[in-house]
Amino acid sequence: MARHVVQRLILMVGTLIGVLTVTFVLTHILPGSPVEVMLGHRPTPDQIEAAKHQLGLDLPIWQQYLRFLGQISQGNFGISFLTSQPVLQDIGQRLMATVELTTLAVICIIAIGIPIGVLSAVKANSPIDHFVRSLSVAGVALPGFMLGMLLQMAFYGGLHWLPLQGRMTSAILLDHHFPRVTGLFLVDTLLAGDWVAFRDAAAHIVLPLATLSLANLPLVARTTRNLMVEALNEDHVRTAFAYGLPRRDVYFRYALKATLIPLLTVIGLTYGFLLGGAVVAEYVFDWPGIGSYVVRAMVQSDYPAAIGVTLFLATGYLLINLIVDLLYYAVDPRLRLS
Amino acid sequence: MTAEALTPALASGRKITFAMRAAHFARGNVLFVVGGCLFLLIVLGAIFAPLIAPYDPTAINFLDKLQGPGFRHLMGTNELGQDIFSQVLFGARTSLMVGVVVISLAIGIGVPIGLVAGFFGGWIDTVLMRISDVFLAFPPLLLPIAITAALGTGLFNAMVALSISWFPWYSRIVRGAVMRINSELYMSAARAMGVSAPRIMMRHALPNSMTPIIVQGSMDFGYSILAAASLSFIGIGAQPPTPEWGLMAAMSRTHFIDSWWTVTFPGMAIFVTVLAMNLVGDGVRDILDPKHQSSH
Amino acid sequence: MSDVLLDISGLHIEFPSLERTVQAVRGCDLSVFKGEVMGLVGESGSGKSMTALACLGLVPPPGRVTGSVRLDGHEVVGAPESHNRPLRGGVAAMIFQNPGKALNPFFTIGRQLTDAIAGVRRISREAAGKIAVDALSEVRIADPTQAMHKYPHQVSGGQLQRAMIAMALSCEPKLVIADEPTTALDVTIQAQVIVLLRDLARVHGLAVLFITHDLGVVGSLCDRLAVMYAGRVVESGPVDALFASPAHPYTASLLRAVPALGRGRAALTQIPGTVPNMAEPPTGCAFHPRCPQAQPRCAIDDPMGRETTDGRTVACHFPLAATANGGIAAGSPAA
Repeated sequence: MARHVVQRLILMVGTLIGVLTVTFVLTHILPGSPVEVMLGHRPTPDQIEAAKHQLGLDLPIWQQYLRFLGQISQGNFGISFLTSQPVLQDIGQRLMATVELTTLAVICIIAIGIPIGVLSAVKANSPIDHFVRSLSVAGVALPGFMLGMLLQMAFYGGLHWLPLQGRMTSAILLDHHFPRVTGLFLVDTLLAGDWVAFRDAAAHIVLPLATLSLANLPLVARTTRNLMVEALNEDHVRTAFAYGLPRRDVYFRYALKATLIPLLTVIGLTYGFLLGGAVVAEYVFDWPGIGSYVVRAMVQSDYPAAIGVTLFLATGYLLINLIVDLLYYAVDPRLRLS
Repeated sequence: MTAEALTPALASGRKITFAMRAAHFARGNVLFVVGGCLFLLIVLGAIFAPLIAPYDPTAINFLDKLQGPGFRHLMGTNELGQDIFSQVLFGARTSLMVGVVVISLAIGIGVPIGLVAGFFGGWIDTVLMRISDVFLAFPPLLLPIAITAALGTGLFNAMVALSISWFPWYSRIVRGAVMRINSELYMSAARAMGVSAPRIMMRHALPNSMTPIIVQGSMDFGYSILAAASLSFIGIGAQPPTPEWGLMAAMSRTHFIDSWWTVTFPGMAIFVTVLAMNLVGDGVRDILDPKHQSSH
Repeated sequence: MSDVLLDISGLHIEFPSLERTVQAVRGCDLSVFKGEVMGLVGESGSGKSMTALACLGLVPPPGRVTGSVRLDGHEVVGAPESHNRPLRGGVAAMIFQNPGKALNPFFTIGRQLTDAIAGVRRISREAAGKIAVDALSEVRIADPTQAMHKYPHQVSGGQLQRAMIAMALSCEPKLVIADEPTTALDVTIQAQVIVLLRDLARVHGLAVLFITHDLGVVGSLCDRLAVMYAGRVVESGPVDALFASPAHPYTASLLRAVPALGRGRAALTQIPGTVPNMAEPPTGCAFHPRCPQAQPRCAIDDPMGRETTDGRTVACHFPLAATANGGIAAGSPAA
């Protein structure tokens, strides 16, 4: 077990170096010199030279690469050209907005997708099953931004129930000084007992959350269904029924546990999709997370920021996959005890 | 024993004609047939777009701006007075082109890498596959965004970016197929007879990995259209005046709350195209890969 | 041997699909009396396992069950789930073919035994756990307390099957349905498990429905025997009588092919011809395409089960005479 963890960690470090390299290559073929972006309008040639020297852009490419690796390994992601703040600080300020959104989405997807999948499998080939399967086929075809905009039209434009975009009404954000303990507005406002701010934060998160969840729900529901159909055909499920165990127990304890490992993989993948999907959803809803930050950084050639966030997200994705892999051991006694 | 009882070894002696097979297939694969018909419609719409489209999709006409759907403009107009129906029709050309280019490029990059890795094995395999894995280590959509940003915004670059982030799947498929064949006897026989390595790969390994590649390709076709539309939507894919569905949705952002048609029709176009392609992909998988038959 | 515990009559099980309907069981008649060991023998695909599952209302969808199965006086066929659930484990407990698959790999043996026992006997989990440990030692598992904490993959197939037997016994059923319990085990283990099952059935006064394709194990274990072919019982009666003089040609060919204990699998295929396609079973007597004694009538007319002397039934137009040597008397083979 310990050996496996070490192996996985070494592999992960290797992959991370690969990710670093790819990112480095990408950002050094960026069109438009980063120096121009940094210096703004009409810099003098001297200024350009000085800036290039300062950034190490006058060095041979391999020296730049080593320098880059060295800086990253010290946690130095550089300074954003656009915000003039350390990239890590920018990420820190925006990270929790994305974490709040994606984590809630994962919870929603699991809480809704798995029971739907189980129901669909238990009633395999019934009208319910056909309905769920059709919805899930249709669901993956719906573009996330389209879903988001449809929700905005319905709940903001049509019904006036929910706000159009953002994370909190700016007036409330300015007047209510709840302490940023976790950076998760829903949690922070609750901790502060600030109901007005909490309700405002909750109202703002509903639509982006629904967008992310609905867009990724079909995959989880569909996978759960297919795995569950297989599991229900296993001999041990028949044994459980033959000894009169209640259906609910057989489905949700005996059979579901057998599907947990492949399901975990899917949930890990979904987290990845969510990080990607968050880029689009944050763009649609003007959500101040790292997704919208990275898009802006890339479009405006803010390359320290682009590198920083890309690395950050890739690391997060790898970590999630590592955790999923380790969870296998917690779930499957055949792995744990062999 | 149950399984044996359920699947009798041989059907009756009745002769089964191709027409019977087709009819039975269509009955059992309604969704595939529906998807295929939809897809055919889209292809026809794309091919005959210049004939069908009532307006020039790029023609600006401020007098007609933000008209709702009606007789003059079937799907209304956008804020530049461009006819949305015509744009959607021409957008089909863009999207189908995107699907074809992305998948072909991904196969073009992925297949040779997989062939080489699987055939030579050893450190070549390790290096190539580890490199491929790096491309899978990025959260989906983030790598295409990064690559597009690096290459410069534009539809062509977005397509290249999508292919680059997609090719490892094809490498893996081909590598797996080659490794399986490698262990089989006739491969070593071919090698013993002095047939050159590239020849062996082309003659034996490639045909054997065609089925999974086709399956994967038909499944990915729709997703690549979806991903490209997303890139265009966030502003790094297609640029105006290219008729592109994601871009149309993006351009409607300032006024879609009041003019629902500006986003709904391009969005529906993406949805229907991707749905049709996914249904076809599912069907193709079922036909070529019967293992999956029960689980779609 | 007075009361009937399990009475199956006219049982049909069909699996409809788009193209064709598979008739897994086609009019099976069978009864098991209290305290007796009944053998049910047949080739793969003859409908034995489906019959067993039907006894507890466990035929998987889309299976259609008609006819009658009375288990301890309760009609199982067509009864709602709530009616059948108390029968499962409590009246009849099942032991399955492959112990490695029949237990859930994600839970300890103890957990699964406890769950079953506590549920069936409606007792606390602690009490159920104690019963499970006792039962494990009764089936001669070396260290019962430790075995409770093991996962199925950690113990051998033979041990697992013992645990399954312990699970069945500790539910205190009246009938144990053992569906090919030894097929997946090594030959030496097979004998041990069969002896164990026989002894325990005797001690607890249990009736056993022992399903197998291996005639070799039936003789030492069973009181009575039913031979199943193509979804129907073609012959039944006391083991000794059946062995001495089989009346149905199918039983006779099975017996001719019978090997020493444990070699059954290969031997049964020695009967010429193949198991019929259950989507389109042969007309008349299902066995006639493979029957050495077949007459023209056999291809048209479906023989019904007939009671003969000493409690035997046979479904054949031309049953073999009950001569001591089992030779052919009625109906000479068609040349």
